[in-house]
Amino acid sequence: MAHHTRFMSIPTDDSSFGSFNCPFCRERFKLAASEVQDSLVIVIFCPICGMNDERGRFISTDAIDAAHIVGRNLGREIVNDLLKDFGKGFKNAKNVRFTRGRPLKMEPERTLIESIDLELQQLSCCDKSVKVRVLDQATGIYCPYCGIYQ
Amino acid sequence: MTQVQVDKNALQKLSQEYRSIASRLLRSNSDDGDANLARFTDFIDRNPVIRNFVEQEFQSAGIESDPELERDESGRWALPLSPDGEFVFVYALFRAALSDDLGHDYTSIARGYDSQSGNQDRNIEAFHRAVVLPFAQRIEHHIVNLLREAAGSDDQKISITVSDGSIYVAGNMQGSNAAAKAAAISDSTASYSDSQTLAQKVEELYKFLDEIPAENRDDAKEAIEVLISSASGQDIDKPELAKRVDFLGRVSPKMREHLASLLVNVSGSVTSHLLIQTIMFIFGTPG
Repeated sequence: MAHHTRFMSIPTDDSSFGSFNCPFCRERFKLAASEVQDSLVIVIFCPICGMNDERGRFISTDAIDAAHIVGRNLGREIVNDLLKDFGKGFKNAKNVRFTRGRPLKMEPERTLIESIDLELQQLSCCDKSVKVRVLDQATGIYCPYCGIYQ
Repeated sequence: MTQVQVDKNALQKLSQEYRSIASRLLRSNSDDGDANLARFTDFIDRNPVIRNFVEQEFQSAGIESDPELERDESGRWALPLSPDGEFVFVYALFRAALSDDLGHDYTSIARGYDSQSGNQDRNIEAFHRAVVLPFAQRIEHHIVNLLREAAGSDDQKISITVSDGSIYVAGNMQGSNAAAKAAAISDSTASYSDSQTLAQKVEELYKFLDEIPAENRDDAKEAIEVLISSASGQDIDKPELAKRVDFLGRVSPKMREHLASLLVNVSGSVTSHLLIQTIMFIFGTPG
């Protein structure tokens, strides 16, 4: 079976921070793209609830929804291409006729926009930074990289 | 009642270790739910600071015997409205899930939380969000409160009173010697950062040899020797080390407790020692 890959980029805000959602408590926070893309970062700790999971599980729900649309459109594109020349195979067949209907309609793809919000907090333990809500800052957060309570 | 002193660093480590075990339970599916739930409750029962909190919650909820584990009309657990009542209910639910009462079936205790999809793992995910996460966070909030208290004191330490009593759940008394465990944590508050101390601490495993069945004693002795060699810097490969650590943990709960305690106050370069990493790997704590 052939594999089809399509890349999509996730935007960042004006200071190069992208949104993430905790898979457990579902709270949103932001991490610097350059810091989180480091290959040594395998596990992330949610700054709000402190639970941890693989980096990929924290991808924001908006980005996942957008990726699902891209995936569904890719599937439709493949089916449309496949059916384009499907009828040629039956050109000389006496008993089979193939008439191609309308191509499958594409879903409008979602444009991801990163809002400029949340407060920046420096993490002295790992010399990195995170953006969280003011309320979370006030009650204390966990370092997303080492899990230490700040 | 016993007074134990816990410092800020020990509480930081406890918080990390606890969240690592809790996260593992929250990531569980129908295949590993039972095993991860057993790990989680075992951690709660073994740690005097957390055990003490659970006991306080039982007292504040005024619960002296098993709460009735009932479901509501939608098939979900009928959790009490008060936070301490809910906590005690969920703790009792976990204990019952690990006993014969609920048939050791994690899928069945999570039933009713995502009836629309009919997918077992989605159901478990919804159960985690509604029941397990609030329970796990209540314990973590307690540890964070102690941490703040310790951070605010002059010597960065706090005294905790640990009762010698036990948590009454599911008709039996769970692990009654909290004082001995408390003393163990008190002794382990000093941090260590050199492999010589690590080797000395591993040597202490010998004192538990008499408590394990005679047929396992020789293998356990051999395993301890391998661990000491590794702690002293000899090149022992990870699978071999993992096999020995796992063996000791299985034959003796006290050895398991002692090995886990090596992770509590470790600091500096020893944190990345292969033996420490292996113990973390086997007992499910973060690197």
